[in-house]
Parts: sequence; structure tokens; C-alpha cells
Amino acid sequence: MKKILHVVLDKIGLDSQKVENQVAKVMGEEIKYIPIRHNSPGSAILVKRCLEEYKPKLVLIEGPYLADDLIKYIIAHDTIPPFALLSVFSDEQNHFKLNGIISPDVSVPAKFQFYYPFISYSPELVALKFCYSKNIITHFIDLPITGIIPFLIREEDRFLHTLKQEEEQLKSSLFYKELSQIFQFDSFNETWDTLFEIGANRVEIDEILESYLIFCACVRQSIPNMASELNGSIEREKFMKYNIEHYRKKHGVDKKDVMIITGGIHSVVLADTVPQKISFLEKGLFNSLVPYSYYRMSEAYGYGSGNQGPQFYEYIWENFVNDIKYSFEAAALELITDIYSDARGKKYDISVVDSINTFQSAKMLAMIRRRSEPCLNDIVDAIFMSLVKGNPEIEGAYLKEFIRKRVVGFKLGKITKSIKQLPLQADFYLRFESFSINLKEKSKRHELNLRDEFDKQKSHLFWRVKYLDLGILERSEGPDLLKGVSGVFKEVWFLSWNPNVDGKLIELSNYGSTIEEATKNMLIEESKKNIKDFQKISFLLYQTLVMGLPTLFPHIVIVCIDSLDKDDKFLTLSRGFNNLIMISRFLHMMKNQGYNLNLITKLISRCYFASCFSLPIMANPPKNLEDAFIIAAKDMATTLIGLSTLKLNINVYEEGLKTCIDNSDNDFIRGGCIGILYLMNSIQIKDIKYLIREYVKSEDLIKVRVGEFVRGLIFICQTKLLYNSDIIKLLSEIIEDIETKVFLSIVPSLRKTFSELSLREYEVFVEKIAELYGLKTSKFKEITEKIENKYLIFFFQINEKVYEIFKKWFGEV
Amino acid sequence: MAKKKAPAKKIPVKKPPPKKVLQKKPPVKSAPAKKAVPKKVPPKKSPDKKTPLQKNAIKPELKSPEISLGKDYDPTKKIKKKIRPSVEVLHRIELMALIQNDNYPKPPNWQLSPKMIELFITGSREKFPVKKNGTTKKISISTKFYGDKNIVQKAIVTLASERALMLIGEPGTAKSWLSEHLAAASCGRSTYLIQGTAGTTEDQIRYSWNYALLVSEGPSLKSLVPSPTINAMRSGRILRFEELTRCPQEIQDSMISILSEKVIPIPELGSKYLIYGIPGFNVIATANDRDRGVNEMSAALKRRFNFIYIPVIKDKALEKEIVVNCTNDLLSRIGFKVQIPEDTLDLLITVFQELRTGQSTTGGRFQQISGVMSTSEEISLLFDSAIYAKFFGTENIEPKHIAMQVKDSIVKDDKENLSKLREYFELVVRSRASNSKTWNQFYTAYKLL
Repeated sequence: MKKILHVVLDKIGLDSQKVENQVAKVMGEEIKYIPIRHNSPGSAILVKRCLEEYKPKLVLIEGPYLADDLIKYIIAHDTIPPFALLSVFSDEQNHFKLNGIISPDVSVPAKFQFYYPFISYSPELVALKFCYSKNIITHFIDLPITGIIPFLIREEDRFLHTLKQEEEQLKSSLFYKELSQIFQFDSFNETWDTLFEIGANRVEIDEILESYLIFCACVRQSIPNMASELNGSIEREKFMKYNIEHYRKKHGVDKKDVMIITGGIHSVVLADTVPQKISFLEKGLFNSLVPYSYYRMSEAYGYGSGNQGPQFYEYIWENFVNDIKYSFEAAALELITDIYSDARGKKYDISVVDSINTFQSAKMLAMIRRRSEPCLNDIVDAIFMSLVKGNPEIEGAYLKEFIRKRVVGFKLGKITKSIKQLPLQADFYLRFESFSINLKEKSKRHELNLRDEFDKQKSHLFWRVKYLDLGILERSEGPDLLKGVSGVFKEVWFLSWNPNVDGKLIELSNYGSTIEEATKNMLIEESKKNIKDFQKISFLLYQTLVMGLPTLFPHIVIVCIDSLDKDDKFLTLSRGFNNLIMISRFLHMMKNQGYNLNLITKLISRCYFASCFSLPIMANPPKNLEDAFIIAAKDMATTLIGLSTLKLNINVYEEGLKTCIDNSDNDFIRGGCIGILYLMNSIQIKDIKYLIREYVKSEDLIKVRVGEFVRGLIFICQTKLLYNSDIIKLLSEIIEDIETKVFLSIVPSLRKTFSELSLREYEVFVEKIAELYGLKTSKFKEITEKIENKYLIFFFQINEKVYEIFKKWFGEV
Repeated sequence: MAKKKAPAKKIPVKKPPPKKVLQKKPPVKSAPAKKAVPKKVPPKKSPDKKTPLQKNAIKPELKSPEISLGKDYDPTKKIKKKIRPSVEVLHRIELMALIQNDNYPKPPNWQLSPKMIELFITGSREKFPVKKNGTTKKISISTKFYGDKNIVQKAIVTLASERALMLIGEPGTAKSWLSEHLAAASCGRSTYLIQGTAGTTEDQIRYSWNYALLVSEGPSLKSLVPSPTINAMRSGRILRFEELTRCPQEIQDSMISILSEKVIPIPELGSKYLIYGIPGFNVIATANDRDRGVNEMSAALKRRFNFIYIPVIKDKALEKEIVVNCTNDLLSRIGFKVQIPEDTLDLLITVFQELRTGQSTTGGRFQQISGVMSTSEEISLLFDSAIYAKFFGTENIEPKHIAMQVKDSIVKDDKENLSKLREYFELVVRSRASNSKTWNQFYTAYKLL
């Protein structure tokens, strides 16, 4: 390691003597500073060997101060890794001035979640378990998250793990970059495995400690913008040093009996760090243990502190513990046979000879890459060499999946039942248990028959959990208010648990102690927030139905009535009206089930009149709402046409539309409203033709507006109008008769009109035109095939322009 | 496996009278022919004192058969310069330096360790001392393969294993180049070569006979004509099999027993006569991705190979580096020095990358060329342009030289490519011509063709 140090440090112009002195000082300290990499079996075995060798009386570990009371749960026999120590903080008082910046509103507290994952080979967990078995005192000494938050200046750091920050620092250092270039390492993991993991069980303790410390010291000295990059780390180190002094005095332990287990980047400086008590907020901070998964810990999930294969390193750890000298080699053999037994017969014909060849190749690749044993890169390369007979991107796609499955693993952790869970957490797990549902990360399909009482109850639970936004449920089939699907008695859900669930449940505990209570309170809060938006309020009403909350139903109906008085926007009212119609159908289907249908009928009637009266107000909507307004008006008309049971006076709506036409200066809206009246059979085709002719007869300034009028008209009733030859003929006559300058003015509107047609509508339109001019449809193909070069160039230039604009909008195209 | 046609063992009882030609042929041990240059008896060399390392090392082969025609041909004259010397001759000094400095373990009969072979192929900034004719000098190792180093490592590891190596990829991705260098570095000889074609026969892979001797003396070792396979097996070296998938499948399958048993039986010489491969023997085959499905390899044969895929280079800077270095290398072999201006080179790389993908760098789409648009095709085009510039120009490669070559190089036998190329020029090159002098010259030259 020293040789490497000199080669690399000379290249980047750093003082190697300084590094050696720094390391010698740390090694010479009475207190034992043990540098580790989190979630590394090599570090875990080092910690175990150090504990056995030095026999300390006090062990202090990098972990959140205030979480000491969780240690007994961490080491409990029924707590099974992987799990995570979760620190949650909700900034009710806006101490960090981030409310409204990272939360939706100033009134909504900013929330922070930090995970400290533990795996069976986490050095910290190994130390805690060892100390427990030998009655050695242990404490966590790191700054809690409320002390770290002020330093997390980068947006992306705010919700990520602190470990990621440490790994990023290592990777950004010039030392690492030069080292990886000289030795041609492809990744940080490969570098680390080659230098420190392989042989961690055989190398002398002092030698490996020195190597770790040299590496970390070099890295720390060569981090670009060190002051800003280490901002926060320095405060944490001061706080850790303060706690080291504090606990040593408190327990009256000699320096030589103290062992400090921290990330290597801290270990190299802790001896020289000046202790300082850093203040932090305690109120609103909550620590707990939550189950975690191998998948979440892996790089595949995007977890930067990079365990590229939690399952693979589990093999290594087991080999270390079982004193197998060549642990990586043994793990390679185990991994290869596991992957091959999975892949055998599924797309790949694999024989024992393949296994031998792969293992042999992995070993030889390791040798050529200057390693004594194969690491994960070598094994994966060897597997591809042996099995993939072509382009690995294409022919190795299946194999990649088999490898990923075995390397990453699917193991889920468990937390001891003795840990104090919040009531909401307990209720959540109890509910799922009562339906005999095993929560797993792999997505599972649940098909529910809504006529069956048991399945209906399950559906209610699923809807409630979905409403709480725990991110574990997705519905693919079933009645859907938004899509207008009713009359269906089957629901299909996909359930996949994830470790963020507990964090969210802790956050949601403010709303209640059971899932039902939390759901109700959140619904009530939401109804208050959205009182001026009838569409959202009416949707809440639907949610009370699907979530099985009949006691809340009358309350939301009252909120709806209140909302109808406060909302005067046609868009939200008309959409709310459609929601109410769907709700009434849904209630019919469910045979009321304790809900009062009369309340809904009265509400529909009330909403209908409110919508009709608000219609003329929207006669001149802003440009961006034109389409939405016309679609909403059309949807309401369609609903009215289809209604027979509810006795609503349709004339009121027609009058509303006519007033809107009179009040509007927008020809698109006028055309659209005329189209809706035509759909409702209130006017005839001759009236439309008359209106179009009126436009054309007028002066030029009005004449040019015919394009927008036609666009609005066809936008609403394209199917009905395009099958009408009279309208096509009329449009054709207009285009032929009007002057060129007028034609050019209406071209954009007409172009937009026809580009909005579906393919079939477009074809019908083309056929009608062809018919009108006595042409056959096949003629069109001939015309399009003979495009001249200049037009081709023109289209190409348009294509380039579009590309340029899209690139500006979306980045890479 | 197809049965090999055995030559007749029995000689006819009534021998036909010998032909005149045969009678005229002087006996082997007869006096020297008239006017023949007296045979020079090479002086006996005293055995050199060699280190065990040097003894084991296989010397790079310097001799190769030379065939020339014409009345002025004098076989005693040594040909000083070859158009394309083999890799082991071309890089003899580098190989020597690596052999002398190699302290890593080697597979049996290899002249270099895997690590040193990797260095030989990927190049090294480090300088190695090399002793030659009593003097020592330091040399660096040039880069011969500009791709992912992992490809080279995997290839070397395969050669050291029980399996043969199959280099597969698009045409022009340096498969043969890598194969040649791997063979030269590992065993000192890259010329045990079989070129796979539709007409390749089993005889060419296994062995054939000198039929004159066979008829006159019967089957014997003397009348056996060994194939490159037998030569490689006997000497523990690498056999190169180019374009394996161009051979019919039944011919390809004759490799199965060679690869698995490492032995070739010669039943004509007796049931016990077998030619065994000695340690160090292995096979490097190459195959094009585009040939897939024409003569698909059998599953049995595939199992005996490790496949290493060599991808097309997509990185523009790397492609540029390769094209410049390789073209300069080719030019230096014929003693030419031609200037390649940066903007012309940039134009060439851009044209190839755009035609390959059917999309301009500004996002416009046009029809994709169906032919091979490989890096080696680029090198060849630039080399031809350089020669043209040298003989008919100002020794500077200009856009017009590229334009002259581009049509022939790209269109090949597919006439549809011509219209596609025309479309590319009209849509992409023309619009650039108004803003760039280089592109303007390129467009104008093309239009004049």
C-alpha cells in the first residue's frame, strides 16, 4: 500500500511524508481508532478481529446520538437484518426555514428522513452484537440529523443517506481518480475490493489498519473544494470527539480501553479534532427501526453508498466467519453454481463444464487484473464469456436478470416485536395480517370480487392505504370515477411493500392511531383545504364510498353543499357534476350500503344549476383554458343526453350555452358551443351553414375569423360533421372563393383543425374530398409518392427545426 | 463428421512407364544443376549460452514463404521489404523487450505472460529496457488495440483456458487485427492461418496429401501435407481461423474434435497414428455478426468457444484517434507522409457516423446506408485519399479526395445506397456547405463526380 501511495501521491503532487506522519500518529494513539467502510464484510471482519485482539471496555460507534435506546432492539434475537435505523424530523416551527421551499406550503412542515441501513455484515452491527455478548459498553456518538440538516446545502442530499455523502467524497478525490486510472479500476467498488476486501481475513490487523488509514488520509487530502465538501463532516467530527471524551469520563475508562468505530474518512482526523458540543433540535425528532431489503441497499436501486451485491457479500461474510481462507474464491464458486442452477434450462443450456470454465476464467481474470482472488466484476465477466454466444446486450439480457437476482438478492429484514411501534404502524401491519397478506417487495396481484364481503373489506383497506400515499398499492382494473367506468364488480390490485412505509407511517401518526382514523382525518383536512374546488370535493365523496367510510359520508355531503356556494368556475363545477353522476351510478351498483342516495340526487340537481349559471362567465376563457372549457361543456352535454332517470331541465343548459355564444368574442368558443347545441339537436345543419356563410359574407376582418369558428365546431362534433357531405362541400366552396390573403389567414386554424383528427376521421375526410372532386382514394398515394426534392428538403429542415426546439425543451432527444 | 476420403493404399501391380518429366528430374542427392549457385554451407553456430527464460521463449518467426513470378526473379536474393510483415516481425523489438522484462507466471509454451500480452496490445506509457546486440535501450509499447481493455483481458484469459476464442462483431471492428496480435504475442507466430470461405474443405483444416508422393510411395508422413492446424498443434501455438462462419456447417464441425480432444487421427497411416496438440495450442476464430444465419454454428461447436463481442466504436474522439493512427501507420509502411488536416478528418468521421445512424448531428433524419460503415472502411478510405493526394495532389488530403472515394466506398453492390447517399448530400451536406468551406468543397466535389 505504501508503494502505491508514493506512486499516486507523486502524480498528484501531494506530500506523502505528511500522510505517513498523520497515519503514524493515529496508529500510535492509546485510543483505538478503527476505520471502516459501511456495509463491508472486510471492515466487519476487521472490527471483529480488533475487538477480539484489543478487548476494549468502551466501544463508541458512528451512529445517531439519541438512538442509544434502540441498541437493545438492534441486537434482539428476532431482529433480522437487513433493517434500518430511521431518523425522522418534522420541522413544525420552521427552524430551518425550508417550509414552503421543500414542502408544498409554508404551513406544511418540511419533513426529513434519514436511513442508516444495517446488514448482517455491517461493521457497526457486528460490533454491537460482540459487545453485547461480552458486556462491553456501547454508545452511538454521531450528530443527529437535526444537527446535520443545516449543512445539507445540496438539494439531492436532503432526503438521502449520510453514507452516500461520505462515499461521494471518497469518489471525488484526486487520489482515488489517479489510483483507479493507474491500476485501471473500473469502479470504486472494484478498487475497494481489490485493495481491502480480498484477503481481509488473512492480512495482519496492523497492516490492514495502516492501509485503510493511508488510503483515507490520501483521499481526504485530495478532495477538491475540501472546505465546502467536508462542511458538516467537520461538525460531526467535533461532536463525535466531544462524545468520546464525555463517555470516557462518564464510564471512567482508560484511553487504552476505548475503541472508536467510524468511517475511515473520520478516523484519520478524530485524534487531532478539537471536541465541541454542537447544539441540535430534539423536539420533533424520532428514531425507530424499520425493515429494509437487499434491493434497497443495492446500487440497482440507486443507493449511492454502493453495495453492488448485498447477497454476494453475504456469502463473503459467511466465509470470513467460517474461517475459509480464500473467501472470495469460495463465494465465486457458490455464486456461479447458484446462478447456473437458476438459469439452467431457462434459455441457457449449462453443463458442469461451463461451471468449471467460468470458475477458471474468473480466477484467471482476477490474476490478470492483479488480484489474488476474483471479485464480482471478474465473476460476471467470466459468466458472460462462458455463456453468451454473441452481443451481450442482446443475448445476455436474460442472463443479466439471473445474475442480478442472485447478486442483489431479495432478502427482507424483520424488526423485533418488542420494539415500541407507533399505534398507526401496529394497526397497519395488523390490518394486513388479518387478511393473511404477506408484505413482500416483489409485486403481487390481488383480484377482488366486490360482491364478496371479505374482498370488499380488503378493497376498502387497499383504498385507504392508497389514499395515505404509502406507495405500495396500484390498481389496474375496477370501477373508476375518473375514467367513467362503473358497473364492474372486479378489482385488480398490485401490492409491493417497500421500506419507506414505516417512515411514512411515522409521519402520518399525527392524523390518528389507526388506518381508518388517519384516513378520515386526512379527508377532512383535504376537504377544508379545497373548499373552493368542487371537483376535488366531489372526488372526496367518491373516496369515502370506496374506502368504506359511511359515517363520514354525510359530513362530506355538507362540505359539498358549502363548496357549491363558494365555487363559481364552470370547469370545476361541470367536472364535479360528472363525478356526482358517477357516484350515483356507483351507489346503485353497490345497492346503497348505508349511504343516502337522496342526498346525492339533491346534490346533483343543485350542482346542475350552479354549472349552468356559471357557463356564461366562461364565455371568454384564457387561451390556455379554451380546450379544457369546451371539452368540459361537451362532457356535460353528453352526460345530460344520456340521463333519463334524473329529471333535469335540459333547456337551462341550452340557454346557458346560447348566452355564452352571445357573450363570447372568441370564435373558437362560439364554434364549440354551436357544435354542442348541434350535438344536443337544439339546432340543425342548415343553421350551421348559415352561420358560416354569415362569416364569409362579412368584411375581411370578420371573414378571417371563420377558421377559428370552424375549428371550434369540428373540435366538438368532428364525427357528426365530417360524415356530412354538405359541410365538406361548403368548406370547399369557401376555400375556393375567398381571396388568397384571407385564405392565408385562416390556414393555421384549418391546419390545426385537421391535424387534431384521428386517423380514421382523417381518412373519411380525405375520402369525402376525393368524392367531391371525382377522384379515387388511390390517387392520393400516387401524389404523395412523387414528392419533389425541394419539398423533401423543406420537410427535412422542418424536422431539424423541430429537433432543435425539442432539444431545448426536453434536453437530449 | 464427414468421412475423409482415404487415398488408395495399394499400388497397381503393373506400373505405368515413368513419364519423361520424371526421368529428367535429377535425383535428390545428385550433383548440383548447371549454372546453379553453389550451395553455401552455413557456418556451424556454436550453441549460445541462454538463460532458462530465453530457452523457453519461442523466437518470433521471421521466415515466411515468398512466391514471385517473372523472369528476373532470383530466389537467392533476400526480399528486404514486405508489404505487410507479420505482427511478430513488425513489433519484434517490443516483443523482445516484454520477454526480457516479464516476471509474471506464464501458461505452458507461451512466450509472454497474460499481463505482458495485455501490455503489448493495449500499449504502455512505461518504458522497458531491451538488450539488443550488446546494447540496452528503453522503448515504450505502442497501442495496437484501442478499445475496452476488458475485451483484451477476456480474450487472453480464454486463450489460457481449455476453450477456444471466438471474436465476434460487426465487420471492421478489428477482430482479425486483435486475433493476429494475440497470436503473435502469446506464441510468437501469427501465421498459422485458415481463411474460412464457402469453398473451404476439411482437408484445409485437417490435412491433405502430396498426391504425387502418395501415388509413388503410398501414404506416409512424407506424403502428408500438414495443415496450419497440425503445425499449430505440434508446436503448441495458436491457430487462427478467419471468418469461420463463412464455411459450411459440416466443415465448421470438423473443428469439434480438434477443440475437445486436441488430437487429429490419421487413419491412412494406421489406426494408432495420432497427431497430438501440445500445451499452448489453441484456436482464435473470428466471425461477423452480419453472417449470422448464413452458416450458423452448431451448438456443439459453440460450446467449445468463449465468445467475445467487439462493439462498434461510438465515441467520436476515439474513432478519430484510431483512424489517424492506423492510416499513418499504413502510410509509413509505404514510406509516405501525407498531411491530414483536422477539419477534413472531422468531416470524414462525421460523415461516417451520420450515415451509420441515418441521423445528422442536428437531428435531421434520412435513409440509413445498408452497407458496412466500419472504422476499417474509414481507414481504407482515408488511405486511398492519401495516395491520391500524394500522386495527383499537393500531398494534403482535401475534402475533394474524400468525396471521390466516398461513393465507391459506400455504395458497393447495393444500388439503393446511391440514392440514399444522394439524399444525404442534398439534405445534410448542402445545408452545411453554405457555412463551412470544408463542407462546401466536399459538396462541390461530389456534385462534379
